[in-house]
This record gives sequence, structure tokens and C-alpha cells, in this order.
Amino acid sequence: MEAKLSDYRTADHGANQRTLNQHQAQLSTLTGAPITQTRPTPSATSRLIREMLPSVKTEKEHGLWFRGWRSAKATGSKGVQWLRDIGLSGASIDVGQMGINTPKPTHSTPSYAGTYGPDLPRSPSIPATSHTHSIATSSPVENRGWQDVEEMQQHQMFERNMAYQSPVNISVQTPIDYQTLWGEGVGPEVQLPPTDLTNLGKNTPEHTSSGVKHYPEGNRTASTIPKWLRYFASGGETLDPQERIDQNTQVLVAHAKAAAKTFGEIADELRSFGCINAAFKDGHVTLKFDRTVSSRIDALLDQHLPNMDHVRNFQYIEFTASIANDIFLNAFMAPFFAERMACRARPLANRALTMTKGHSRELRFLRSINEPAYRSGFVGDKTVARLTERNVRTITPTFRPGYCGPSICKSLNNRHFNQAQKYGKGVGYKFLENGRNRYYDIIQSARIEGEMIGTRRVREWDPKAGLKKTWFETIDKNGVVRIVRPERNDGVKIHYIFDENGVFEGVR
Amino acid sequence: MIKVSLEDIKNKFDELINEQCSREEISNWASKRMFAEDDGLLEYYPSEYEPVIWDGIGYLMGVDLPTTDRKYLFCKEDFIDYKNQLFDDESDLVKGLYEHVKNCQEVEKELLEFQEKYPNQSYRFYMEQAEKMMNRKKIK
Repeated sequence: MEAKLSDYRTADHGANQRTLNQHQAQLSTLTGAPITQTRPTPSATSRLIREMLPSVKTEKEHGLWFRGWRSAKATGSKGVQWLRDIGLSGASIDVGQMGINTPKPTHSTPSYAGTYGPDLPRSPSIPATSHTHSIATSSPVENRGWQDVEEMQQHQMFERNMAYQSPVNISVQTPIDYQTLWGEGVGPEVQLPPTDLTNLGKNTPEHTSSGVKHYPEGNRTASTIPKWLRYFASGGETLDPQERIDQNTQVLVAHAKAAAKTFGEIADELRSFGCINAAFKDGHVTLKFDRTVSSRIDALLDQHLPNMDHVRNFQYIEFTASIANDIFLNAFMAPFFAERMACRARPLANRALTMTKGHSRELRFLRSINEPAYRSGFVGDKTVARLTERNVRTITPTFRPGYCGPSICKSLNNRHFNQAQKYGKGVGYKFLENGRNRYYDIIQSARIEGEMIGTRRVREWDPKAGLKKTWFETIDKNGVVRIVRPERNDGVKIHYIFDENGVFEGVR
Repeated sequence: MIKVSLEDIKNKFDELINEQCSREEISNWASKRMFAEDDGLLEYYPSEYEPVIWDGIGYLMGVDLPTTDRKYLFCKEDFIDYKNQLFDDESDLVKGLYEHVKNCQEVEKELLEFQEKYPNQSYRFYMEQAEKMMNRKKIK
């Protein structure tokens, strides 16, 4: 029988496989020999049953027989009906009635094989305490139904499971030998789980846990961060600590770089104003400006001037002198900062020297009104009280840069119409895009006919800079300016010649 | 201060016509008066002839202008003709000079009223208005 079963090829067919397993268990019971081969096909099993059960001749009969056996209680099924027809009852089907005499299974030699495969360890000391089995051993030839076979099989499976013992004794005190537990299939690079489980469940910081990548040093700041905060910050997922450090570091470095760049720009700007040093103390930034020249002058004064501390009320005299000096020194220095010399620094010079020009003049004037005590200290209390009630914000300067107040208008109008009278007798004047005014005089025509018909005088005035230019334009028959002669105060006369297309030809 | 009179202008024209002075010398003389005017150092005598005197200065400045096909643009006849017009109170030239002065004064007055009506505007805005006003006057 074993030889025949060994020829069966393996198959894996779901429901059929389950049927096959049942048949296999049935056959092993019938034959009394262990069936250790791989699973046979349903057709092969059916053929085998036909050989063992003569009453079942064809595969169809075998199927009817099996269905009658499986659903013996269902009297209406085809299988049960077929069994009745041939004189068998589904509930009392046994092997003996089918004419099969098989050796009974014995206790010492369990002849059934489980479905767990041959490599499953089995204890040799499995006690045979099954009632079914003891009944089976009471008589050598016994009619046994398929239900009994199934019960016996399940019972033995249960006993085998209950008798199983682990080869390794797992306990907390003894370290686990994973090589023994896992076998030889684990690669050498695989990191084993922690063997020391004494701290398990003690809420240990992650950097002290085995199996987790360690911080570079033991007590880092990160370990003092509450665990819930780290968990929350990581989005509910544990992150590799080194990766966390890298992320935090790159954010920190990026912000530090941006902040340093901004600080550098501010420092450069401060340096342009003479700032040479900066100190941070008590939450305040103290800037030191370059006062080299003034410090040297102070040192010279201390060295060469006599000490007047013994003179009574000298401080008041010094204070009065400083005010007077401001006025006179400013008046003395102002011409050195003329409009054309100071250029862009003119507003700064105006403010530094209290020049009576522009916006800074009005601002200083308003400030002097609002801060009388700082200016003189010689006014009475009533005056101080009255003046301090006034607010700079309520007093708006009459002159706004870029806008034309009444006095400015009057002055500009005067100059404009004066030039319009003298130079704009011709086509009048033009307001140019660059803010300058250009005045055209009458064309003085020449009596002699030639290439040129006449000339006219042109004046250009820049109201912002107050600059004026005058030149003569000689015009040809086509109205093209061919000769230009700028008027110069030194008497030098240069004529710039142009061709018909306005291209410069040369100087004459 | 540089004092310039109507008689000075007439003399310069005579010198120019009679060729007692070179054109360049007369042009330089007139140029100095122009720069003095810019500095506010020019005094006209009589003052009511200021437009005539100034126009004479302007003309004398350009008497030495060259041209491409001959040495000077203006000839002697040009000077004589202009002198006759300039010193004739009834000439169109003189009438035009005084009318231009009058127009400028009226536009200046109009502009001042406009500036009072629309204060604190840019200078460009005011100048554009003045240009429009002046064009209106010239069309009339």
C-alpha cells in the first residue's frame, strides 16, 4: 500500500485537499500502516478506495458513497439514497460491511500520521489514553465507522499538541540564546533584540536602551526633554536620535546663518555711521562710535588749558559759551558746506550745522520750541509750561520735499517769469521731462540767403539745482539746428557744427 | 552793478555798423551784460526801456555767429535794419516786446491765484499750468 501511495503526485486543491486529507486518514486507519507520503490526488484516492471497496466500482459510485457517508443523517441526500439502494445505511457504515479487513491500530505503534509533516518533533512518550482507541484495541477485528476514524484522528492531534514541550526554557532570569532559538538561518549582520530584559517596562530613556542607536554622549540635553514632548515633536513616530539631531542642527544652522547675515548688514550700515564696536549687556546693545578726533581734541584741551574748577560758577559760564559757540561756529562753518560742495550730504550738514535751509531748519526750529529747557534754560517756568504743551506732531512743516509751498512758489515763479520775459519771446518755453525749463527766443533771420536762415537764443534753467545754460542755435532752411554755440562766462566761443541729419561734424 | 542804458545799446550798434569794433568784441560786451543779469547785477537805464535794452543785448550777443557757406551769418544791412526797428517805439518789434512782458506778468498773476487755490502741489504741476496759460495768451 505504501508503494502505491508513494506514486501519487502532490496536489493542492483547496476543498478537494480537505477531502483528500480525510480519505488519507481513513485509509491509514484501514491499512494500519502510516501514510507518510505527500498528499495524493482525489482521483488516485478514489481509485484506491475502489480497489478496497468492491461495492464501489466507478468514480461516481465512490462519490455517492462518500457523500452518503459524510451526510448520513440527511436522509434526502443522493448519497444516502444510493447507500440504501445497495443495502447500506449511512449511519451504520463500517469497514467490515464493505468487506475490508484491516489490521487494527495499536497503542504502541501509532499508525496515523498527522498533517503537520514529518519534521514535526513528536514525543515518544505520548500516552494513549483515548477511549476510542482503547475500544479499538479491545477486539482485533472491529467494525468502525468513518466518524470513529475522524474522532480518533482529532483526539490524537489534541494529545500531540498538549504533549508538546519547547526545547528551550524561556525565563526572565536566564538570557535568551537566539542562535538556538532562531537556528542557523539568521545572518551574522542581523542585530539581535536585547537579551537583558530587566529594565523592560520601566520607561527607560531611549538612549540607554539596547538595540537603539546611542547618542554620542551619555547625558545630552535631548534626554532631559520629556518623552511625551519628543513623541509629539516627532509626529507620533519614533525617529532615529541621530537623524533627529541632524534635522535640528540643520534648522539651527540655517537660522543662524540668516540671522548672522542680517546682523552683518546692520553692522555694516552702523559702521558707515562711524560705529566701531558693539556690546551686549543686560539685554541692551551698546554701540561705540568713532570719536577719535573729538577725544584727541578733548585731551589736548585738558593738557593745555588751565584747570578752572576752582572758579566759582565756571560751569554756567562754560554752558553759556557752548551755546554762543554753536551759533558762531555754525555760521563760520556753513560756507564750507555750500550746496554744490555738500551734494548728498547737504541734509546732514544742514542738521549738524543748524543751517537756515530746508526741512532740517524747520525741524530744528520746532524742536527748539518744544525743548526750551535743553536749548537755553533761561526761560521761566510759565514759558516752559506753555511751550511744552505744544506738540511737534501738531505742527506740520510748511515745506515738504517734492512739493511747492506758497513761499517757494513765489520765489520760483519770480525766477521763472523773469526768464520767460527775457528769453521766451519766441515759441515760449517748454517744461522738460527732467524738470528743467527751456526758453526759446525769437529767430533772428539773416538777410543774405544761404544754407542757414537765422539764429535764436535758448536758455535752459534747472529749478532744483538753480543752474542756467544759454546757447545760440543756427537753423537751416529745413528747420534743423546746424550750429550750436554755448555762451561761456570766460569769453571762449566754440561752435559745434552738425550736418543736415543732425550728426555732429566737428568744432569750429 | 553794471549799468547799461539805451544809449549804450545804440552806440554799440553804431560801432558795429561803422565797423569801429569787431563783432567778437561787441558780442563779448553783450555776453558780460547777460551774465550780470543772471547774477542780478545789471541795472537798466531808463528802467522803463528794460525790454528794449535787453533785446538789444541779446541781438548783439549773436552778431559774430558764423555760418557754413560764409564767415558770418548776419551782414551789415541786418544790423541797420534791426537797429531801426529796435529804436522805433512804434515798430512791431518794440510793441511785441512790451506785449510779451505784459503777458508774462498776467500769467504770473494767474498762476499765483491758481497756487492759492490748489496749494501744496508739485512744481511740475504748476509749470504745466503756466505753460497752458501762456499759450492761451499767445493765441489771443
